[in-house]
Amino acid sequence: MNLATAKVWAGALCVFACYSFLWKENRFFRVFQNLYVGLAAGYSLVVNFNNVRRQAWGPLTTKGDIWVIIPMIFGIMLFARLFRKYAWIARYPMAFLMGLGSALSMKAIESDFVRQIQASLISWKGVGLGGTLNNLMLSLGTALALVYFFFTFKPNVVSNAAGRVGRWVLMLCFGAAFGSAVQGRLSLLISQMQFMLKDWLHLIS
Amino acid sequence: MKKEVPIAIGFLTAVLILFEYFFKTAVPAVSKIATDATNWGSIVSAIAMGLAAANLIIIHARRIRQRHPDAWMSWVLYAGILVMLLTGFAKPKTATANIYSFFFDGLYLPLGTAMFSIMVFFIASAARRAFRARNLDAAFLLVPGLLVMLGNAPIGRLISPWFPKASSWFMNYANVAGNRAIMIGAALGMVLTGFRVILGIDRSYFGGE
Amino acid sequence: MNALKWFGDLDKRWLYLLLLLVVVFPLLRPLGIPIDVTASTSQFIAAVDKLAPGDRMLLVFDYSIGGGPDVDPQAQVVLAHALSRGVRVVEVAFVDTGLNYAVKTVELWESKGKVYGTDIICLGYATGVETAISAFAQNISAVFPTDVRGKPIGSYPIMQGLKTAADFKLITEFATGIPGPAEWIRQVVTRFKVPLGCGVVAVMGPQNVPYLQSGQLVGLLGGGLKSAAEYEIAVKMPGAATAAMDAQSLGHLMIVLFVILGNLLFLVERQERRAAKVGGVRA
Repeated sequence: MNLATAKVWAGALCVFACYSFLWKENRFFRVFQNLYVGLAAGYSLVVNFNNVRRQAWGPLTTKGDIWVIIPMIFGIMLFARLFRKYAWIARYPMAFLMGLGSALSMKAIESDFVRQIQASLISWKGVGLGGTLNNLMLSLGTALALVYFFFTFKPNVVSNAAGRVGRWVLMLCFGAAFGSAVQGRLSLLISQMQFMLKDWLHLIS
Repeated sequence: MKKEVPIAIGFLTAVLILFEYFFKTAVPAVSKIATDATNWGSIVSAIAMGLAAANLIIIHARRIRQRHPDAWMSWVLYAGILVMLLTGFAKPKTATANIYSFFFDGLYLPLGTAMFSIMVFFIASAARRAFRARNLDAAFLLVPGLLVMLGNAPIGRLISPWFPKASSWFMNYANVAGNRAIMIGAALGMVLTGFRVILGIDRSYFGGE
Repeated sequence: MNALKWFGDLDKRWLYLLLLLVVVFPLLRPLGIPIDVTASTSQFIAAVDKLAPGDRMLLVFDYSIGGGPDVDPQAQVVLAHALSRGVRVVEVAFVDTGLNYAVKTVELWESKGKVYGTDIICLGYATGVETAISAFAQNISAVFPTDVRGKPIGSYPIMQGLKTAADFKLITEFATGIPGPAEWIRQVVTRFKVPLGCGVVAVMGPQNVPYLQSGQLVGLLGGGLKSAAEYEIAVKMPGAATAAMDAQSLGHLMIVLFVILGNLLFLVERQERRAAKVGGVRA
């Protein structure tokens, strides 16, 4: 048996192990589940070790870039979290990562706030009645859905009615998401069956 | 020292990145430091993955020490980690690389895809009992869902040309209106949370005082 | 009524078996249901068609193995399309398992005659999600001083003149979660104004349509495997995604049927409960 065939048979065994859970919870499934977690953790360690070697150790040893020692020290300081007495040491690198992440996420004000509001401010007059209704849906629908999230002013008849319509808009949106979610999950099953029928059983080309 | 210095580090890092974002290369030295700091974040994150793995190993060691009935499965987990560590650094086209390829392509990949693919079976059984239009709001959710499902599948057009049109309308208008509102709200929340972290008001990342 | 009740009481494992059979049957006996190409897929194809031979495109493998079967066909057909037009492709990954797909893809195209380092290259994987993307966009060589084979990236012809994300003519990103289109738009498109086309799993499709509509994306393959099938049909490179569409159709039909039957059962049960209540009051 060559390597390619061994991989296919191992893959088929994995599929049976996972799908055995559909019959009932069993140890066969649990063994492969734990194996999967172990392989994932091991793979992550290998890949990230190579990254540190490439991004930090390489520039330090080949180009003499001593500043990369700082993130390397920060990274090692993170491991202090495993020891209760010294866990406070991990705050320094965490603060660096949080400050970095927070600043980078501020760009959402341009991409997700300003640009999206801009895109909502369209003329209600579209091509024909259908076009007009579509544009109304886009701009008014967005505004009404936003009203649904306003909890900081006193409820009144207008805001309640607007919020109600906004909630319906959100339901329509979640309905579209639900349909797409089912589509996505089904694709994974189909791909799995294609592997079994083509690569393992050779029933399809 | 234990509180003030981390808050200062977070604040200064954020100010540096924001300065570079707004003023770009107006002050080249600051721009270079900010770019380096962003690269350092990637290095620290890579080392942090080791912390995640260490945590996993400690949790399972505890299970083994406490002689949990399923502790032997923790050994299976350890075996998985060990195999990847021993073979993951192999040079290409060697026997060790072949072992790595067997475990990665033969076990890890199929297990990952198979585990996620079983979710559709639960959706199928939930479709019978859980997806019910009990009230108007639920109907507003279910009907577009069904229309999108039929519209997105090629068979929808064979049943009626209105299904793809309805699906397209829901995706491009109703869905955009709702998702845009969520996006705008989330962006505001992200910025406000970011400010709280930068100014040291939110210190949840300290991990307990 | 009895049939509905029987359906409601049926062991769920029979439903699992039925779903499996409904998916397997059209794979063995294709039905040939025609596939239409939607507007968003056409937009994506047009974005790739705008590239001239020799232009450099960044292809980002941001997908995990859980969603890989949904998104990988998209990445493969886009790559095949770009390479067939003489476009040079630089591959990166910001999800660790995406690296595996990137490396395998490069090896596949090398075996088909493409020259590594001239036509196609794989830089590797960088940790840090949005932080890594931002760092990469500002200075490519700081994040990837060497490629996945350990050689300095400056030694490859394809990397000459590539310093920041702005130097790419098109960025195509394929994602199953975070990082995804939102992160790339925040860190790269907003600042560097590079055209970005994204392919995502079907679950993520609806939440990214606003970006397409606002012009922040030049193309969106938001239907997972279906979008891949549409792309394959449009560029006349049919593959596994096209072959899967009959199964997708029947699977959808079955689930819709289950939902309808389930709701009919719900109505019947509600009627019976109401009748029992009225009957109880009268008695």
